[in-house]
Amino acid sequence: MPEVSQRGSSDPRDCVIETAGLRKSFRGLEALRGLDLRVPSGSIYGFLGKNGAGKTTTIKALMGLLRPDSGDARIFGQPIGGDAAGVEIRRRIGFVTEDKELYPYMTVAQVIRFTRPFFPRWRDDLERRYLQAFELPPKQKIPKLSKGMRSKLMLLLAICRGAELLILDEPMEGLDPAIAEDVLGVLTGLAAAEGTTIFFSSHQIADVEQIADHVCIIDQGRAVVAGALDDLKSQYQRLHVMFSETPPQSVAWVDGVERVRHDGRMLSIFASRNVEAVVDQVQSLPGASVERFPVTLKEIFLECVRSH
Amino acid sequence: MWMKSWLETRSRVTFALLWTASFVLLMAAPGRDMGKSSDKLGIVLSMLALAFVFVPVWLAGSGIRTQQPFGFGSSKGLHGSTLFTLSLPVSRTRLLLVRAALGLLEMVAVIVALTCVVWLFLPAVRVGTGPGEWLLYVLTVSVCASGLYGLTMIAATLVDDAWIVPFSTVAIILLWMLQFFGSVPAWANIYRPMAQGSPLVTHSVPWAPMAVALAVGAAGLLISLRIVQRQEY
Repeated sequence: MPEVSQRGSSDPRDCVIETAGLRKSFRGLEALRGLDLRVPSGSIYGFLGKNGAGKTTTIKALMGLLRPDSGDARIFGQPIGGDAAGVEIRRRIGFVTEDKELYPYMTVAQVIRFTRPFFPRWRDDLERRYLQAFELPPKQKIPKLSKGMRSKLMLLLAICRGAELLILDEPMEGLDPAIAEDVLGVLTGLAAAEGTTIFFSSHQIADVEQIADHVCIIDQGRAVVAGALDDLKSQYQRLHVMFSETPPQSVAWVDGVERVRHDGRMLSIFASRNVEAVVDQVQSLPGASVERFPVTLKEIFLECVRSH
Repeated sequence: MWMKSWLETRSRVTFALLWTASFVLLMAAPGRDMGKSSDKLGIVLSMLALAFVFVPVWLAGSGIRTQQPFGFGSSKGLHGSTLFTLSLPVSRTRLLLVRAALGLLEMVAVIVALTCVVWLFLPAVRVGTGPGEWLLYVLTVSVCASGLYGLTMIAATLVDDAWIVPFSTVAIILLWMLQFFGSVPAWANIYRPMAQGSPLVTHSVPWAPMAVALAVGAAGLLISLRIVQRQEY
């Protein structure tokens, strides 16, 4: 696998979230193993990974819920950690937790009334809009809400903070497709209209592909791919090579070839970069004809996590 | 934050009131003969002390995770709504201080309420004592109980919700027994001023045990703050 590419914003001052060499272990088990992350300002950043890859640990570390063992993490250029610094950072962040748990003794209206005073830039207009759009019953107690409704309420509480950054841990988990579509629409609308940076974790690749403009794939606590989604899609390609005779069994492939599959007289090559050089090499092989195919995010994801 | 803390602890306050009320019922049971009036006061104070030492246990809601009365089924093994609370721009120090302050106020309210009920409905205990001494008694008991509250705060920040009450109960009973089986000097015994050593009996203020209780309470608060600062979720 190639070195992690960090495309997008080149100026570190434009990054809302930055981590370098972030490490965290739980009883000797390494959850984060030197995570490097750069989330450009104003981006919709999908944070992809298998279960247990380290997504939630990263988010908890960013929110100050866990202390990293080593490494550096900054939000808005400020180092995370420390009670006072954390308060100022959290004032500018909207957060949706993985389990979507809220106070069981409060109603929808009460939890909104409780949250509002903490945020001087609370958006009453967005509160009214999304209470209506999400069809949230103000007098309903939290435990009586379905998981989908709880997710919507948490999202409303995050959006209305007037936050510059939304950190969402599996925001679409447990939502039916119609509600998930609503939520995705809200997030893209928010990024477009308000310039809010949205950092969300998911293992729903289709959701990420639908709205994200930047992606990071995390595997075993390390970022294995990161960058602008369009760049990644043009950078990664699949080549199908047909041979008129038996394909060569061992080839010293140029840099960029990640995986080669043999299927009779055909080779399927997954290239992560340097595609032109790979094509040139293939065409130099006797009796070979090559076809290039774009890859989906799902293919990139699967190739990345399989090869680790 | 105060309203949130109150909503989370109100069931505990109700339980603490019911707990202490059961002692009043025991004391005021018809046909109960407690002997001479001086014996009556001693017995009542002993029973009140027994009621009061457990009030901090019932009100041990000082942990910032606590969301449900006595923690049963509060978070399904996860952190419940604590993660949401910690995402708010409030320091953990402030979260804990609000919770601790409200818990202490609730504890004092329960002590005042029960003492008033006893004073009003058990006229025998008023013999030889004035309202000023009862006020001093309330102050002494509140201060001494704050030491126990400090200990329960540590439990509330250290252990999971469902274990706070059992953990604190065992700790307080062990400390109670220490005065009988150990050699706790009178100046350090924070239980005695709630009963036989109270201003209603000795007609003096137990300054030393009160100072020890305040020190224990403050230490409990500081340790709890330290724990909460370092806790991971």
